[in-house]
Amino acid sequence: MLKTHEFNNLNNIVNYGFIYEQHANCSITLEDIISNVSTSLLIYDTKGAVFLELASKAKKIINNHNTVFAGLISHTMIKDLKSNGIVSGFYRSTSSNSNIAIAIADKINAYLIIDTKSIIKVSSKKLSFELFNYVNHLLWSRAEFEVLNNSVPKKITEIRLSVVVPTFESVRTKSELLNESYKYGTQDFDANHVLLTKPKVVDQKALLINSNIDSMIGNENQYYIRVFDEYYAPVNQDISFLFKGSSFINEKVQTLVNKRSWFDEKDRTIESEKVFEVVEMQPLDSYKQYEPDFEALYKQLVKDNYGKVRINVNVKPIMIDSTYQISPKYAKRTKIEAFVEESLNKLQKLADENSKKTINNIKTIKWVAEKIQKHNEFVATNEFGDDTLKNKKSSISKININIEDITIPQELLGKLYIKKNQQYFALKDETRLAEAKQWLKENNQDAIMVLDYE
Amino acid sequence: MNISYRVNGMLNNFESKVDLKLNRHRNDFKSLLLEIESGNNLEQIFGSIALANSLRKILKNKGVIDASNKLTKSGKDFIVSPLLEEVESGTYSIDYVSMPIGKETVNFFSAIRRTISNEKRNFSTWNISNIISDNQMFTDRKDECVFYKELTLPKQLNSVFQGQEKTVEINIDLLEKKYNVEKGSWLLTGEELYHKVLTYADEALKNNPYGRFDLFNNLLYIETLKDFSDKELVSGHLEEYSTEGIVINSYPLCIDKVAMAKKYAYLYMYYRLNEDATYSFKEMDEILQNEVLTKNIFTDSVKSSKTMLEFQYDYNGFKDNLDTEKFNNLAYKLRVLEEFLDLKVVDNEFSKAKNYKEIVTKFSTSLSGSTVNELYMIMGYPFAKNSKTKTTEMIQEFTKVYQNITIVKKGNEHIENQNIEKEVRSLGVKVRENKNIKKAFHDRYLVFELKNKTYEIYLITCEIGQFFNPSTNQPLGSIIKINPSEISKDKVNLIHLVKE
Repeated sequence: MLKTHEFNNLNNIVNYGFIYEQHANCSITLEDIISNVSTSLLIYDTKGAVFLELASKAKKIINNHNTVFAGLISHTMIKDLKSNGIVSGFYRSTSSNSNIAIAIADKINAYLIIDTKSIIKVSSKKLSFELFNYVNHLLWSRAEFEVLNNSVPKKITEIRLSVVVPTFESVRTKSELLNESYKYGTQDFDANHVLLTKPKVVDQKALLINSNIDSMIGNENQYYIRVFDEYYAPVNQDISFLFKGSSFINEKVQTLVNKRSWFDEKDRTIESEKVFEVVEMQPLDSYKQYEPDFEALYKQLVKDNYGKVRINVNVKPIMIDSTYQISPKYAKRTKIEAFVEESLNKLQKLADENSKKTINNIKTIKWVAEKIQKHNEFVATNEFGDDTLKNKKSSISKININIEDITIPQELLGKLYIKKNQQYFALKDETRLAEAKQWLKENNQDAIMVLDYE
Repeated sequence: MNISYRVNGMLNNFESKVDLKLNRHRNDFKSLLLEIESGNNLEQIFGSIALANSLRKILKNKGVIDASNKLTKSGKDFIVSPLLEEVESGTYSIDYVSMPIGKETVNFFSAIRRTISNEKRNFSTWNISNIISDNQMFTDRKDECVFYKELTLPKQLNSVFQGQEKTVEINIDLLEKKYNVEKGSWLLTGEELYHKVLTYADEALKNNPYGRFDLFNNLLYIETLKDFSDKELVSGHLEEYSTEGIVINSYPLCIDKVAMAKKYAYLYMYYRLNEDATYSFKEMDEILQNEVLTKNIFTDSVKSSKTMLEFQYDYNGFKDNLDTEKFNNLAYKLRVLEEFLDLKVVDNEFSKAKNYKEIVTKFSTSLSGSTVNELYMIMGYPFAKNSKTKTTEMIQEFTKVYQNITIVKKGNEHIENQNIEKEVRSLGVKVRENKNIKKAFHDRYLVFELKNKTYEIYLITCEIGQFFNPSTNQPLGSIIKINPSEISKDKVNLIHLVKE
């Protein structure tokens, strides 16, 4: 019996969220960086964002001793060089952390590497120069351990300050940027549009950026990305690949359908239509009239957002299965029947001819209830000879039983089952439903009507 | 360094009455002459005109003062070597040594005692020839220092009581000009014995596998670097060699060929870099100029050759001058240093200075002399024995503004020019050294201790006493103000080390 209901959410409103946008991929790869190296490649990456991948791709450079491959990395990373298969090159570790990885080829071509798929080639020579000089300053003046080729990490005890911090002109400090006004900025800045690395509900228009950038500010044509300490490198080329999405306010579900979005704390793609198929089991005598509670089912079934939701409920009669036990009445009845028979046999041995006849008559009674009744009447009304017999008779007494406990229907009508103290009346089909109900009524019994599995 | 002659000779003794001419060490005369040289009045010293006159008469007779009571040349010489010839006669027990030097055997008297033995001795003819003079002799009087001049037997006497002869080991130290017999006390050889042995040693050392020994300057002019171990080359000394009784230890090597000097420069730096040191190529040049060229390992002509004065280390130089294995060991490190440690002069207020006066002027605009309690100059080679060191000139300018200056030597190995230190000290500058600074701090600094007990610290990327290129007057390094927090690491603090 199929019952259907459709819910339409298309006009529902989502208060705040983000729609992810697909931008063109970054055009520069790690291989591009490596292939343009002629004398040296210096990589500063204490977060380990790209170091290992770059090193594994740069094997040709690392193994060519005319080209210097140098890494300024974290203390943990320098200990693991060998286990990561890096046995050549010059490495130092520092506690001065990078915010994004910086690679500088031949001391003049700098790259800001957000991740392996988001690389910005620094176009300004001045900026490249400043970045190189700063990283080189850290390499010689702020490093604590050194590995040269395959050596074990050696502690650098000597303080060398002669490779000095460059005077930054292209690179800007945070305090300088805080004094200027920009349209976009991460939450550590006060900008009209906030740049978020992870979606969350904020009370302003927001854009999602690559999660490896922890601080950034700018306008459409120029951004400043935090590279190290409180220093920001300007980028004025197309960095749309760093933008992952933008926020919306009070948007109809209809506009979000089939788009990757985030709202209510979750990333999701709303499907336009979703069908839920449900089977509900109802008693045999009422399932055809049953009306499902679709609202309750929606709450129960629909965990995500969909444009439209159709719930198909297939209402079926309850069927007996292995979780139901045959009613104990059957066993009890069999036992009682045997007991009455035995008691009658005993009486027969004690009785005179008349009584034997009566007992034989009782034995022929088919209805067990009547048989017990007659047995009890016989026991109550008949006396036997002497004391001995009385004593013998004393082992025979009236059978006290609640007749409902052994009342079962004819097998052709159906069978009684029990499950969790509830009685079920299992019928082979619906044809004798009225008859079964009548039987229950007549026998003063209560049971849920179900379908037998045969 | 040690060069000595070790040989077995014969020690003998005779006892006799003899006339001895000796040179005696006379400190009393020396003291007297020093008083006169200082212009002190003998009458006042001795409290007696007669005594003063008498002494002056003796001194005039000895020719050490002139008629106007001024020291003569021989008087001045006497102060340097206060030996006075004396004659004495008596009965002595005298040791004499017969020592072979090559084919020759020389004799010298090694001890005189004024006590005669109780031994029963033969009376035999005294017949010792080829006697060396001027050697110091052991005597049985304490504090007596005498040198043999002449021995004669009294007339009519030609025999002496001869003792037993025995074989002894004789050691002649050609550096200290001392000898000993049977490992006894060291005594001065005197010029005659010294020159005889020296001449022999010079001849004996002609056939050696290393090069030419110059025993006058104590240098071994080497033929090739290949004959020496790595340790010998780095230290610049031949560890040990002996031939025909001449034993040499730790003997300075000397290079008199420019091409070899250049090769040596690379080899020296190879060992420094291979021992974990990290230098920029410019710093290597500085090390060569101050640590290597101040040593005697190069002859003056090599040192002053254009090649060495303008010598600069470079990658290809290492490649050309080291053997393949050594170069391969170092090649990657050199590439790293060449690529990333190529330090440039930082463009700042000090980079345009042409002389020390301008540098001091720059400092004094922010740090007036009255605010500075002490200026500590932490230097690597303040008094290096080379023409590039202009520490005196530098100090002269700084002392015009800053009253209290202390030069703190970091402990870099180099040969110093004592005159520069003397000049600098005469300008009121204090000098001290703490070798622990070199272990912890690569660079050099100027630390201004202000009267309010705060510090201003300037980093100097080259030697402040060698700050300007002599030809162009351009700064060779940078002076950069740094944060005091930068001079501490792992509980080591520069200011603590400077004040230690």
